[in-house]
Amino acid sequence: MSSLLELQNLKVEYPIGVGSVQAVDGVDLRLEAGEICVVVGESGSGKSSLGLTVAGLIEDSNGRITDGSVRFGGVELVGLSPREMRNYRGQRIGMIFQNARASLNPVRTIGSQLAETLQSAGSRLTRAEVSQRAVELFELVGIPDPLARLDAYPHQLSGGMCQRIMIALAIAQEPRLLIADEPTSALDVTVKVQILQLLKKLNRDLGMAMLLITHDFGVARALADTIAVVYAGQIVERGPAAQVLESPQMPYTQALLASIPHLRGQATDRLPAIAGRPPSLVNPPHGCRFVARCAHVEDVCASPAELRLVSPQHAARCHFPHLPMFRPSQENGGQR
Amino acid sequence: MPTGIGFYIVVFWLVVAFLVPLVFPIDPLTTNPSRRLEPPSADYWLGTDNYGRGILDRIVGGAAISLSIGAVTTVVSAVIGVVIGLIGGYVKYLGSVLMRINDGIMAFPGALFAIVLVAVFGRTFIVMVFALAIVFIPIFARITFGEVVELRGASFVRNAVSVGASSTRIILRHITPNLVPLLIVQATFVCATAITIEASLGFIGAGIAPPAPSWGVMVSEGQPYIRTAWWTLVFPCLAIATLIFGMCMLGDRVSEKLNRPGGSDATAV
Repeated sequence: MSSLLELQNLKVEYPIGVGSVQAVDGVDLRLEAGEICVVVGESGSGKSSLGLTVAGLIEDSNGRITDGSVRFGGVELVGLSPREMRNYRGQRIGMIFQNARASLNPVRTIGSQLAETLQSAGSRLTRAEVSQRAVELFELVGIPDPLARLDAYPHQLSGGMCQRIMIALAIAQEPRLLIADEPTSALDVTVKVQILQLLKKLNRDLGMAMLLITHDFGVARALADTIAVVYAGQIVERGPAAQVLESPQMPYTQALLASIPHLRGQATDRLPAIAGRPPSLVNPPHGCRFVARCAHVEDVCASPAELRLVSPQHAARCHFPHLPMFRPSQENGGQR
Repeated sequence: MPTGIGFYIVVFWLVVAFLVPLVFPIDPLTTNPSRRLEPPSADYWLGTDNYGRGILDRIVGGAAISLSIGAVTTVVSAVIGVVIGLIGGYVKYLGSVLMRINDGIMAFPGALFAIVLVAVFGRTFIVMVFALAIVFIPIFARITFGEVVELRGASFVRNAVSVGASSTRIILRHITPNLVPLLIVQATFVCATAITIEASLGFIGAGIAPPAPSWGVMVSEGQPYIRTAWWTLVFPCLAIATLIFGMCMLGDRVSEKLNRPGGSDATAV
């Protein structure tokens, strides 16, 4: 039995004048049906490119897949024609984006956009069935007074409401996988919690697997079954959520977790930050990509690190896993 | 609904052109040699021209010609231009080819191009519209192209792709409706410009053939009498000026309402 989604040695690049940006560099990832995998990474780490690639949208974003495979339900998606790929988009793989309002057509009512999506599956729904289904979907994603909302335009709705509508659009054709790229980043905190609860509910009630892309470990903590931490186009740590959060093995993950503010900390503590910047993806370093910012550098770190299992399901890309939990502070945070 | 002075001026001229002739007897063509170059009077409110035709009658008749030419030219060039722009903007490898041809056509001075076509094919309404449309098609094609290229990268288009929409659907249902505000603004300016060019061509004798009451022809005919019968020149000029002024004001107003920066992204010839 193959996994729902299986990425093998996936490489994606964006051509830029001379050369290219290697946004995704050899990613292996597996997602089972009904599972929520949260991909965590900072801006420019390639996490969004990863999501776009799985959804088959990377070419529309001027990227290209140079190597590796994306298997969905055992079927290879890399190399499918646009027409074949269209049978996957929406019907089997749904995607939601960060800026919900911009993702809805500003000059059309949300009812017409939803109806269009419902009919694009090739289903011959009557007008009445479409509006009935639309109301069901709106109720499912928690939109109050669904009938009245069908005639609204995106600018008449709040950001949280737009996000719910986009989720309704994405799940309208009941995909088995939902890719969510920063679904809550543009929302305020209370709405964010509601949307996360909604995603969890959809996962539980519909058995929809999710690939959630975020920079926010809070989101990972709330939803993840598994977590993949991405740095400079590579997965640097991957495993069951509890293990990654409780005993991170890669110094980058450790530093990220340490830089989350805690309510119980002393008021005078400075929040630890990771000094430096991620390496350029035009000419990535040959060795471990975190080497310039890591506190444990030794000579071997100049050679590439492999993603190695540190426990049965937990893997880290580090020459020195099992090191004690690294907590950068003001004294050692900026040094290497 | 965008109103303002431009709107009322345009409505005024529409009423004059298309409703007034239904209610009042308008005769822009019959000459009356015994009543040449009469000043404004109770019989002829705006006086008569060199052939004894009422200036008012001819202005009313000319309004219909000017507005029809403006409107038909705008619709024809918008439809063709938008189709070219959509194809060029959406089909990547066709885009640069179509736009370079477009630039080539745009390189000809508009009025000159129209003169040549009218000279070759005759001074009729259809040829006039055809000649003007060729001038304006590239303008519509270019602004559509630019907007489509921008919209193609918009989040909502990507979202439509992600739910499985086909290219046809994306072009027709997602991109085209978003062009409408820009096209409306552009249309008002194209219409005004078309009317101006038509009048200019009439003035230099390359417009619709006399005795049709084209405003440009009237200005041309009235020009020799500026000292002796000023009304033959002034009133047609006023008609052209007010209509063009009204249309430009309307265009500005619409563009303001649609939150576009000024009329500046509408291209006039």
